[in-house]
Amino acid sequence: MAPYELRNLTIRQLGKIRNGMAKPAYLLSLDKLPPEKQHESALLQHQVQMALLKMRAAELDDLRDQLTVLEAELTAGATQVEGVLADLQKTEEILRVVNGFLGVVGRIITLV
Amino acid sequence: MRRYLILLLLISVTSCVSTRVNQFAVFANAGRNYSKAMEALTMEAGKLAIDADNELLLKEREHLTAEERGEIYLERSEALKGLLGSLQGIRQHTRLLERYFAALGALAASGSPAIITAELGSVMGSLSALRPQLEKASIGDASVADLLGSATPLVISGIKVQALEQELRRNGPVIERELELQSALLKALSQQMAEDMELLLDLKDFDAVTRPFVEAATLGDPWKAKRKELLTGFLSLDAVDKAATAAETLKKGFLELVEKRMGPAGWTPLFEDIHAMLDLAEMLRKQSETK
Repeated sequence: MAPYELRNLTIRQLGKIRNGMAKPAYLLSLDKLPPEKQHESALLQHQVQMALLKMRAAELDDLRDQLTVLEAELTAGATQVEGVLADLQKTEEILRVVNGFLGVVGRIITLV
Repeated sequence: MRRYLILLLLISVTSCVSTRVNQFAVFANAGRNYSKAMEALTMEAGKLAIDADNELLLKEREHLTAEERGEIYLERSEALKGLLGSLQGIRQHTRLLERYFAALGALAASGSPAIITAELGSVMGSLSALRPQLEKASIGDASVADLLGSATPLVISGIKVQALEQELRRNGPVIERELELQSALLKALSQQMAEDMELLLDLKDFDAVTRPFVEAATLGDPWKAKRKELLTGFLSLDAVDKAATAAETLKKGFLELVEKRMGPAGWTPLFEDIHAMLDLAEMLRKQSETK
């Protein structure tokens, strides 16, 4: 994939994660989890939103090299994200997969 | 008989020239309206991004410590400023195109006054000054550098005003690329707006409808009304798709105008798309006011 396609793929997936984690089905399931998991989810949602805002405003030149180097991990991560978001009630699994995807995104753009 | 035929021919030529002049005037008007619509839409897109971030922050806040809240708030405000800055760049680019089309319309109507040619030169200078900044960005489905790098020659046809023809030969292909850029910008903006609108609707749904339904002892008519309002609110996401094509239609209109191959629908699709943009901006403005 060309760097701009990888960037668009990443932005699209981040948007899907952010919006998925704001859906009533996810939030209802989250309500049932212990406070530490709810805390983890809030911190993760913050990182997703930061990544989304920064990627939307970023210049491609600043991301090009890292996008190319991380192509395989990004596409694999995006596929995993796509799969896990199909069932928003599997909250803990979502947290785990999103955490992994953010680990890759965090090597492209500074999250915090 | 011969004199009569020459007179008929003259009337016909004059009428054609006048029609072409009118077409440039109509296009200049469309360019002005498009620019206004894009200005309004980027303003609303910025407000929407802030609203979405606000709601998300408030949702996250419930589960964060005071120390985390402070750090997160500052980081998010800084990131939002970056996004709002990129929207400002889009507005600047759109205004330059508006100036270009207005000058083109004036040139078509008046021949070749030096003042209009100077205005066109000034606009092109500003566009090329803005380009390095935009070239670094990647917007929509293609990189901006790719978009701006492959201008194709235009088949300029049926233009009687010499200065106008010269101008279109000189800068028409560049303007066509700039319109392609606008198209990519608008599509990316639309995607972003649709995502933000969906997020806002879902968070409101959870707080005002889903959670009360699960937890409240009784629910009355306000709950029903809110549910209806939110469920129908999701239909407004279609309005974003409709508005997203306006820049593409503007580019198509420019090419048809320059190459004299206007289809039977004329300017109707362009004005419809611009109206869709304005309607969307107005709807978002009203929603923003009622928050």
